[in-house]
Amino acid sequence: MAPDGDLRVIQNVELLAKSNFSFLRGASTPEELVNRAAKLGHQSIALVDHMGFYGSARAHAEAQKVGIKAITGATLESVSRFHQLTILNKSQTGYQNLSRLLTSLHCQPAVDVFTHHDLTGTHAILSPESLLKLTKANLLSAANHLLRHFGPGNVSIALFRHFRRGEQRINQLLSDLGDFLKIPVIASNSPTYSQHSDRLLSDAFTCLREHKTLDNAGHLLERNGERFLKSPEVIHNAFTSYPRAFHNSLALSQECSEFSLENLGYRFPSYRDSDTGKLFTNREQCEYLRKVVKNGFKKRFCNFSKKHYQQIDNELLTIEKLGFSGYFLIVWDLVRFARSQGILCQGRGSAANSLVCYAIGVTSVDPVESGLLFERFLSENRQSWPDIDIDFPSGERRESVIQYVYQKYAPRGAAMTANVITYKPRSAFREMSKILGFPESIANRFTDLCASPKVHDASREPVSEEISMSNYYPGDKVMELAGTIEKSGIPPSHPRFRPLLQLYHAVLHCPRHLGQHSGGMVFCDDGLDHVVPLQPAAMENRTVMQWDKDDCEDLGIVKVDLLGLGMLAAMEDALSICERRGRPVNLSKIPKDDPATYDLLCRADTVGTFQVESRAQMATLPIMQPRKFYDLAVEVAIIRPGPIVGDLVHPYLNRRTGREQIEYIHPDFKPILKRTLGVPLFQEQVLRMAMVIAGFSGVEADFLRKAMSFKRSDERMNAIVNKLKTRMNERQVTPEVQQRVIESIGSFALYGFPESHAISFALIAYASCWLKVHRPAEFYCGLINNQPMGFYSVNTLLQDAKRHGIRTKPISVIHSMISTEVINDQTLRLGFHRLKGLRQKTMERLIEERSFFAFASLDDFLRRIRPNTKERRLLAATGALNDLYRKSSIVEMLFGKPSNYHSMIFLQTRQLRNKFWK
Amino acid sequence: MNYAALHFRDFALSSLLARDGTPPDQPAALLSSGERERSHLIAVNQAARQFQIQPGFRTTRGLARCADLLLLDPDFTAEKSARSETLAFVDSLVPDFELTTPETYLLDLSTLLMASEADWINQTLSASNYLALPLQIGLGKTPDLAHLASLCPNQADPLTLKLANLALAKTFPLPHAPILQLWGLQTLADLAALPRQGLAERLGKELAQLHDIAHGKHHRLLKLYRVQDHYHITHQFEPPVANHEPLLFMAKRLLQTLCNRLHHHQRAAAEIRLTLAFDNGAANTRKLILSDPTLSPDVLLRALHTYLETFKAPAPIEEFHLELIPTLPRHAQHQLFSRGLKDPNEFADTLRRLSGIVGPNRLGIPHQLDTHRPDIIALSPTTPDFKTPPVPDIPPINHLPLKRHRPPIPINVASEKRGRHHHPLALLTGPYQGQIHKTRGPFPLSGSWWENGWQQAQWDVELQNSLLLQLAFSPPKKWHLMGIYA
Repeated sequence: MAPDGDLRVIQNVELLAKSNFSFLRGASTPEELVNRAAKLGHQSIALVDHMGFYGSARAHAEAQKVGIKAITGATLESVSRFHQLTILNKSQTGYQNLSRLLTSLHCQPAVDVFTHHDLTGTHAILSPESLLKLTKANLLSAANHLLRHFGPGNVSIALFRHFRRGEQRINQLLSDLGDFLKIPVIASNSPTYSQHSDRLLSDAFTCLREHKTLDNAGHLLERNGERFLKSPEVIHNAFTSYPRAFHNSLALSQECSEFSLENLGYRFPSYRDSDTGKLFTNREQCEYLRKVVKNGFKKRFCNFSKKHYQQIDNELLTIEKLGFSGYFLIVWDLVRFARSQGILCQGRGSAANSLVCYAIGVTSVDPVESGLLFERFLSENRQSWPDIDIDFPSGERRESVIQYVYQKYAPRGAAMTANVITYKPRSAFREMSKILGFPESIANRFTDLCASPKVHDASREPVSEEISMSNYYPGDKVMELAGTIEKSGIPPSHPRFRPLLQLYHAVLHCPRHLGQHSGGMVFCDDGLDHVVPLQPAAMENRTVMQWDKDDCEDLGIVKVDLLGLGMLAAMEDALSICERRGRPVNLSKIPKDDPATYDLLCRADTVGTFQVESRAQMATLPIMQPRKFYDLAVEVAIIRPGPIVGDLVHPYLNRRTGREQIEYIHPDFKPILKRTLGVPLFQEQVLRMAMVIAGFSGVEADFLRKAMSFKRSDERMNAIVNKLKTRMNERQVTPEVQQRVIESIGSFALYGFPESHAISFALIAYASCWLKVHRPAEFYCGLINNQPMGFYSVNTLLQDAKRHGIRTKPISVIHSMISTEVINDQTLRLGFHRLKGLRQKTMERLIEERSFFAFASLDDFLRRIRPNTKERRLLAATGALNDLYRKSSIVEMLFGKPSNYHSMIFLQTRQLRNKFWK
Repeated sequence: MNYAALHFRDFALSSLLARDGTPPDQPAALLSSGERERSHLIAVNQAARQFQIQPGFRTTRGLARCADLLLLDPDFTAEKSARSETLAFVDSLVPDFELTTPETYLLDLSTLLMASEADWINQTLSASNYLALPLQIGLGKTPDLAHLASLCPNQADPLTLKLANLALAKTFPLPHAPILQLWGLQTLADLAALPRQGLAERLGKELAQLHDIAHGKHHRLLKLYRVQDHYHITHQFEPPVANHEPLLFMAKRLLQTLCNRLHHHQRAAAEIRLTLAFDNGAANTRKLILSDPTLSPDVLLRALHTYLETFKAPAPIEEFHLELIPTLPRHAQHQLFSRGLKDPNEFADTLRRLSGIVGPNRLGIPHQLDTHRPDIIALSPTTPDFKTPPVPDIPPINHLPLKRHRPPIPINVASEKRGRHHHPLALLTGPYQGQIHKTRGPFPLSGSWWENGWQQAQWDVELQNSLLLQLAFSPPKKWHLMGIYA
């Protein structure tokens, strides 16, 4: 027996912990649970989230930090005869099997999972919560069922101690069952929150899950606050009647600890030949990549320099050495597919630093010419995978590429990365006020009052460590939020005011549900479902994995971002119109030094263009006076939240216009900052500054880059900044320089913008400006057809078009098509897609009927198209029928005007009005 | 007779006399504004008329005829207050009435059930006594005849009304009064005897109209006066009353008024709210929910009576406020839609009496609340259909029968704190005392943390004498004996 108070003498584990990634079933984050477990002296903790491994990656990362083991597992609900069944992984095989099983449960819930799935390496735990009716017969039958499927030695029985009446009887029943069937019993508290005070949020989540308020939830709520993570000593004392349960828990945790998420078994897919379907070996991939690069190189360059040759050779050697040839081939395959379908695409981000990417057509920037460093993208020192983001036109075109990936790696070989949707101030208030019984009108008022969701950000508030009922409502959490709530209609004297505040702060930033990332895709040769459970996304034909992009990065899972860019869709549309009109444009061949385009930029005539159309950009452009491509890249990078926060806009512009002298923060920075006139504008510059001034190695610089782009918390950033300070102190850098270096990094951490990314975006910005100058009609047409996008409304765009001498004809049932069309260089015709309320099938019927023969009259139109009353009104109100009316008048004029012409016109008008406004 | 007219004679003067409590035999007159010497009398009461004092006299002339003449200046506040009282009075009589002149009200009696007209007049006159205003009542088959009748004292025939008085009253158009006097016509009956056509040809259509009125041939619609849509009345007792009899007396009359208002808006009373303000500044509010919406003042009064019978006032009652909560009247045939009781209000009255005996909030259908807090019973109101509230599906948590102490008995327990819980060692006070032999627990329970949070830790203990008890510890240091296991 351990002496009182010494928590570290008794060893224990917690095998049935649920985090808030169980979505409305747990009240603490995986990180909180793991931290608390480490603090209490647990050797390991198993996170068994509801129906998935949602929080496992985070728990694993945190466990590595605090030096304990995080065991993975999941709790299945309504499976076979079980209400809840917890399964732990003992090995990599077990993990993969459970992952597949979870995927099946999400994607094909009807399948009898235990019969149709291999359960090797998994361990089932029968707990008091497993069955709805805990009778002797039920328990015996359930235990036998588990033994049959999981095998002897892979089943345990969990005993809980939540200090409930009747609990001892149930524990005795389970213990007897264990003795009878030779199944080991284990001890657990099955925590759903880390600390006693988190019980409030747990109750709130119960209400949300059951669609009740706290007042009428009754027995659905916990009867006490005992489901928190308890210390080994407390657990030991609670299970003194079952000493073997305590030891069995330790033994089982040791069995399960052999596997960790580091050994996921994930391997990036090898390239598969599109024609033969053959999977390439590593050597074959290297050879094939060289071949592809060689062909691409020939296409890109007529005359290439020796520098180009050396660079490509270096890059290929590095890629082969790191074994990334397959990765490049797969990305090339995606781009090739998109191009074959006529889909515009362009790589962005650090991929623009690679000449190989340029050669195989992934990016459109020559890094040698632009002076970009390949090491920023890939180096032998870095073990992480390169990051290639590709922009596609948003909408159906991008979806076709995504579906291509799904089909290529089917079944279950590809999935979108998840996006964890958390409680934001408005949703937090709405849901918490609802469960406290406040009317919805109060939440509506609060929503109206909260103009900015950042107003009530409580993420930096200290968390109370005390566990007592009296500390349920710590006063220091009552901040300016109180005033807003009061204005919403709940006075501070209201008895539920403080509970509302408490719950609001508790739920803020908690996971609410799982969404899908805007474009991050992960794929795998032999089934992604053995790496991480997949589940159907809200969109049809899409699956989403249970981890977000940061989890994937932490666990070495490679994702490719297939992002949607509205401007690309608009440009693609414009280019196809150009081609139809016999004036094709090849964007790769447009001159990069077109004076007319730079003139447009200099006079800030950039409404509708990419990246340089905002008011801030338009205000800066006349000062900036860009005359070459790199100026545009700087312009794209300069108007960003990062540089604005860092007060770096004005120094750059002042130096450019000669109003301020060029100076570098430190003489050593001159080679790095020369291109940007001594002002650090790009992430690469900041990294190199850190390397020069603080002697950071490549790995450390990479860590700094990750910290700058890691938005989940400030922890990483603070750590690296501290390191930077220490190193600068060691090198006796003056405090002033230190301060300026840290300020530069701090602002970039908010919105870092790499140079390569700026150049990639500047390319699209330049192309959009070029189109506006040289193909304005097609440009505006493309923009209108791809709304909503950009900063401006269609009306503003049409006004801008008018200023450029382009007239827009109204919608007409005689002339318009579904989309907006270019009639000639000076005229556009609006399409039916601009009419809100006109059904797609009506539009299609209209075009089809009109193609057979033109509408002779209004009656003819109504008879053939059959628009409903709303559509009739819409068409009449927008003047789309005017041509029909005029046409009949002209016919009558041509074929004889009746003597009572004016009466006829009057009658016709009345008839028309009666038809449409009845 | 379908119509009645209430005529408050010399209303402006009478309201002042009523305010001051002047006896009716005191001659009094209302003065015009301005200097006393130059002023004249604009109204005189009946006692002053005995001295041949007429309105329009100079003040000095009036005083010459009666040195004891009480001269009063006009007071619009008193007049306004008296008018609202008369309005409330008339409103309590009938739902439909017309405010014809500031002194006269025309009442539609068609919806009123009365034993006889004389009875009704007598009842109304006696009911108006509290106003202390001289009232003349006239009945007629048309509104105008009733109005004319009200101008005659002592319910005389309207045709006996003198034309000179009618001209002075200025309520009916009488354009050629001097000519009529020259013709020797004295009363309305004289005018009515003349041929209508000739009268119209000679003196115009106004007199023809008066001729029609006198013959009951002219009928017009009342311009109904609508009181505000509120169903509450406040009455102050001067001096405060010490028993409920005067209160009930006033309530009876006020309930009639409120019921008339409700009836007028096609509503019925669903609830009575009675607020009593006491002499010592305290107040008491009581809601009396009616089982069946009603418009009967008797039913409402019975409900009030039952309540007041058992109510003990802490001090004399100074003021009471009566409010009826309106609802749609229920129209259902008895037992057609499973109505449980023939007279739900009778049943409610019985319940109220019971409640008076057992105490407030101690009558109803008991049901267990859906909470982890042990032994929490609430009473839901008994409804005429005897619907029991839904019972929460709570699984039994203890298989041993427990004989509960209601309420739990506070006891002193010797205890020792181990970990987070206090472990009981011996019972020091209470019905069962002694050292604890065995314990099972704790079973901590807590809840309602969002409002009036509670927590306790239950223990099952066995004493040396084999008694099995259930104890509960509530922080910071309260112990209760919850019951004994049988």
